[in-house]
Amino acid sequence: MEAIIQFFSSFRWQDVVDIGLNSYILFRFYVLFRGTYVFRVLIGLTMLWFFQQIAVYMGLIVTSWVVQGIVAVAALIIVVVFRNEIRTVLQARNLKTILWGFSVGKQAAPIDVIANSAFELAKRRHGALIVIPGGEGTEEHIQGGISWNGDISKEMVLSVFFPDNPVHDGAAVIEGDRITRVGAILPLSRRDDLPSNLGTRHRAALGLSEASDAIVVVVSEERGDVSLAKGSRLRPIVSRGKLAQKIEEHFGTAESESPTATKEKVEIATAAMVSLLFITGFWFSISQGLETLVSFDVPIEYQNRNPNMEIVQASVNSVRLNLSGSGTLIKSTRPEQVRVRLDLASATAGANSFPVTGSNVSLPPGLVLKDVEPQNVVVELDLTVRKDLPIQVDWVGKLPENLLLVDVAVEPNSVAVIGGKRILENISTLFTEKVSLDRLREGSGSLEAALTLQPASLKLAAGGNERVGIKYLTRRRE
Amino acid sequence: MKWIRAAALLLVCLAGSSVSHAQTPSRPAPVNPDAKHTLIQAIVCEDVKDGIPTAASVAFSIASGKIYCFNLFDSISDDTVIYHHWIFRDRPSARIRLSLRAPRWATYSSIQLREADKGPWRVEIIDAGGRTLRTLRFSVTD
Repeated sequence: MEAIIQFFSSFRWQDVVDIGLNSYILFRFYVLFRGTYVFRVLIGLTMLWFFQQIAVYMGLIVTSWVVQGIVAVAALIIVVVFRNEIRTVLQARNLKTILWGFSVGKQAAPIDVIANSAFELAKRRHGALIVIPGGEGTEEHIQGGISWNGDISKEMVLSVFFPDNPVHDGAAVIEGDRITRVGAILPLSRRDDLPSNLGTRHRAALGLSEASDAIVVVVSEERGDVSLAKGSRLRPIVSRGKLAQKIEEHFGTAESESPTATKEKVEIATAAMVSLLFITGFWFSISQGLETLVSFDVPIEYQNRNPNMEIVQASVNSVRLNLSGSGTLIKSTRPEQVRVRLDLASATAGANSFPVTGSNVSLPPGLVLKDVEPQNVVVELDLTVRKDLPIQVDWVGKLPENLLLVDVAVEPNSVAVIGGKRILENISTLFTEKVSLDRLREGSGSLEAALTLQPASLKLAAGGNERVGIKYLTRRRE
Repeated sequence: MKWIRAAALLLVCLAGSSVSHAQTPSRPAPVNPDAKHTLIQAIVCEDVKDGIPTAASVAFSIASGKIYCFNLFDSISDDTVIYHHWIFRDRPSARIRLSLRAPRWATYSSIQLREADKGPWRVEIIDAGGRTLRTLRFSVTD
């Protein structure tokens, strides 16, 4: 009991959001892609992934390697092979449908008239496409056609799809109790997994139902059967009653739930539950796996330094963090995700000691700081000051025996540098780089040399030149 | 005029007595920090012979073995002292006290060169009141 309480007490609200959000994404993925080949392929790939894990566990080297390769390129395969299906789902539908999509229409329609008309057309082997929009509207998907707005009746429907009628090849759109448009052109489904016996009429029915929440009743001219396209599914309808029931479900007017509807709800609920369980298991396997200890050497970052001060030196440049967490989390942790920051806002000139605690350390979620070495960092700061320093040439080498270097003038003879006050207190001359005496000739001459800024924290003040001119005079020894 | 030069040279000879690393005056002089004087000549040279500096330069070979900082003062109002601060690479190396006698005085200090002394040097000539009268910069090279 205590263990259970401890377990739940270690559960953060972020963890609940994490699991809930990903479960819902997985569930929506199922809702959007169910019934398509994409979903079946995804299930297959998931099984392959499990198979690969088992192969790794059992030490089957080649098998695991091959399966891993297949899974690795699976994302590319899905995108390339099923681009049409994915585009249909993600582009054609609106955001509301993608995020929260169980919308159904609420229009009253003469359902029996539609059902009877469809089966009468089938009996006569007159092909027909009857569009019954849902709540989203279909204007953006349907092209052409003739606006009509006539009251619906069985005779009117039969006459629209009578073979000699100029508009019989198009679709009739029924909204409420009226036929609003006839001879309409529907978008064709881009799917390539449809049975080959389905013609353009069926493909058009699916094209619209995939792109919107409308249902489309299709009457086959060749076979004289009736089908209903809804979402990405095209189902054969065997009786008028069944068709009426489906249309009622579409409008949400069914008084009692049909077994099919109940089955679908059970299917959705099961999918939601499986999504939750799957993500929960996945989350636990990542974040609550066997605890692993690891050490990171992390460079110290300083912030809020007084701009008039500079860091002269620090007792250490990096600290060692001993972290714990699941092996998966630790493996996926990148060095830039682990940072140590010291706040120098309260630092003064001289040595400042800072304890390194959890508040100074930022870690990715799921990792816990166990220890820091060293626990204190001493940072020495110095006020930044400006100082004019005379320049002296650092001669090396040897003059010819018969020559004397009698005069040297440096231009400029001094330069302003900026650096730590305590450093500059001990510096009274700035030297040039080493200049060889071998370069000098008898008489006068000039050359150039660069300045040597030691220590490296010294900087030339604005406008200072790193190179100076040297004028010299040599003469023969007497 | 000749007798003045001869007297000055005699005084220089008396002042310049060798120590292990530098030269100091032979006998202490009373110090007057407010004494007035004019520095006429200040050079670093390879030698001082008979009170005369020779081979003044700003770069000396380590083979010279010894180098000198020679000063000539005039218009000395009262007996006083000066200091030669020998500084190697911004680090003090030697601090030598030298006496000045009115009215005119020449004096010098020297350092013995060692292999480790190669590099930039300077000599700061400082009076009894702590004022820097002149800074001479030179290098010791191969």
